[in-house]
Amino acid sequence: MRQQRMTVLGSQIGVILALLVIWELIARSGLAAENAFPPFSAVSVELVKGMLTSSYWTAVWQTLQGALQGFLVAAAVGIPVGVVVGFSPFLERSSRILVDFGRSFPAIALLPIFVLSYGSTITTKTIVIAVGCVFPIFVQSFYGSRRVDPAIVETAKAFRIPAGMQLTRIALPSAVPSIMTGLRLGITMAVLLSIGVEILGGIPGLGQRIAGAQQDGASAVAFAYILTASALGFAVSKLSQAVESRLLRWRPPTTVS
Amino acid sequence: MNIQKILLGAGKMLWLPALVIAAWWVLSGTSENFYFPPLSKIFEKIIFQATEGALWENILFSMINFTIGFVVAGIAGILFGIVLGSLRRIRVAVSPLLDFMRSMPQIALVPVVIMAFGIGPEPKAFLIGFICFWPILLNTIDGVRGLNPQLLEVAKAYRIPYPVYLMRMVLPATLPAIMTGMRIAIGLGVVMMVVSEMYSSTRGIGFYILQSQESYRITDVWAGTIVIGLLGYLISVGFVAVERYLLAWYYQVERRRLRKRPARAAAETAAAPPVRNPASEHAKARLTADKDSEVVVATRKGV
Repeated sequence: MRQQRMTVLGSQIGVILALLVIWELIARSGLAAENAFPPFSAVSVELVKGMLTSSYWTAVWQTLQGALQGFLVAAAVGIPVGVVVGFSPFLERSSRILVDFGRSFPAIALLPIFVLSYGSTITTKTIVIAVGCVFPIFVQSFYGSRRVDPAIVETAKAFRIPAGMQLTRIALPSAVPSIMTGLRLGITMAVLLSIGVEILGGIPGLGQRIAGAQQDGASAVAFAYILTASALGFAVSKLSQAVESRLLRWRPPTTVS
Repeated sequence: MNIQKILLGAGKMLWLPALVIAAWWVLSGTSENFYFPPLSKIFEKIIFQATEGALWENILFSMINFTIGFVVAGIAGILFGIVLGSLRRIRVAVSPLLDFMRSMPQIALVPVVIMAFGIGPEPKAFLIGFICFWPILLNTIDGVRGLNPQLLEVAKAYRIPYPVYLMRMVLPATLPAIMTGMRIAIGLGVVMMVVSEMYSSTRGIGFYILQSQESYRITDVWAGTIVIGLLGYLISVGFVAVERYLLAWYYQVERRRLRKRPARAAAETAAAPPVRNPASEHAKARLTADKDSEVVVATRKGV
């Protein structure tokens, strides 16, 4: 058993090492233009150099800060509205078209409007991210509260439990697993949008560093920041998965593992 | 009678969107604010661009890039997904890598790819394909892994050749999961389409917005943004139609299964733990979640 686990781990590390070696070889062979594809060794040197400076960590924090702020605004709006709308068939039907439109709208297209009115600031970043994350969070909260067992709703009605109480004591708790999913999708989206907004809007953060370094022809630096952004995305996604499964321990597993 | 019913149903769905548009129209009607021009002016601009401007040309450019990227990502994602889904060893070995690639913000590659390979359409299609590939791949893998193991045994017992087994048994059975992956990919692909054009381009709907922004033509910025919204909406509506058509058999079967007395259906599920049928659990979740929820991704627990 233990040996088997070691073999698996070995194969996983092997794949990653092999990929890094291939990366290095292709870059060194001159098959790809150097400004497009710097060797891994050069990138890692830049990465370590960057990590020793405080400006590197400032960029990481700026990206994270924008993502978190936008995400929190989106959650504060998306969860309550989603739960209420999902619980009421009338509201659900009325808002369906607007919701379908909103969720398929690429929020980042709003960036120019806000850059023009608020400049390249954290406010612009927060607004665009909030608009982009609110729909995944809203939609999952909405499905969660709509999926309430009809028998429970009937019972609540029979006992004349007030509507407000039905919302907070029935719809909300049964929507929690779904809301958690929405939050997880939302935070991943927030990091993606944060980088995108920084690249396009020149708003300080990792995205702006990537674009800046590439424009200066320092592609190894650009790749170091890309790796940083990827690590950030990976960490956020792993962390939110861990939080979700920890908070939902009480729920019996319902799906394929 | 029936027409009345249809009209009533449409009215129930349409009154709120109509109200929102009307409110926007009226409230912005006399707007002097430079950044929030009247909606009527924005509409005039859209109509002008559509009749005399380059709107259709720009839409076509964007849509071609999107389609190429999406289709290539779809084919590659399904192929690799079926292979990785069937071969446990390889899947386990590459799973940390896939996990990393999926959760990286792919938009970060935009400056590098476009600066290195130019502002033409090919790098844009590549970027769109790159962001679309991961959800399709991972959902396909999940779909293959969720198949009933008896399927393979049946194929073996009847000596069905492996390629036929993959094409005629695995692929259709995995289709619902593939479609879920594709639906997620569409949303991401549209974002990438916009970003790749707004970063640097000479054509496309994102370029139209960028150009208008740079010359402070705010009404054009709004017009382009609304067109992108409509485009995104039409793409997803079109996809849902394709999905309903391709998966008609699937929804039929599942609806019939769910129509049985709930208690019996529950008992059946409970009585069959050794041969768990995740495909149908997945199906049930999808049905109750109304096809749009991202249940599959939601419940992925590693590869």
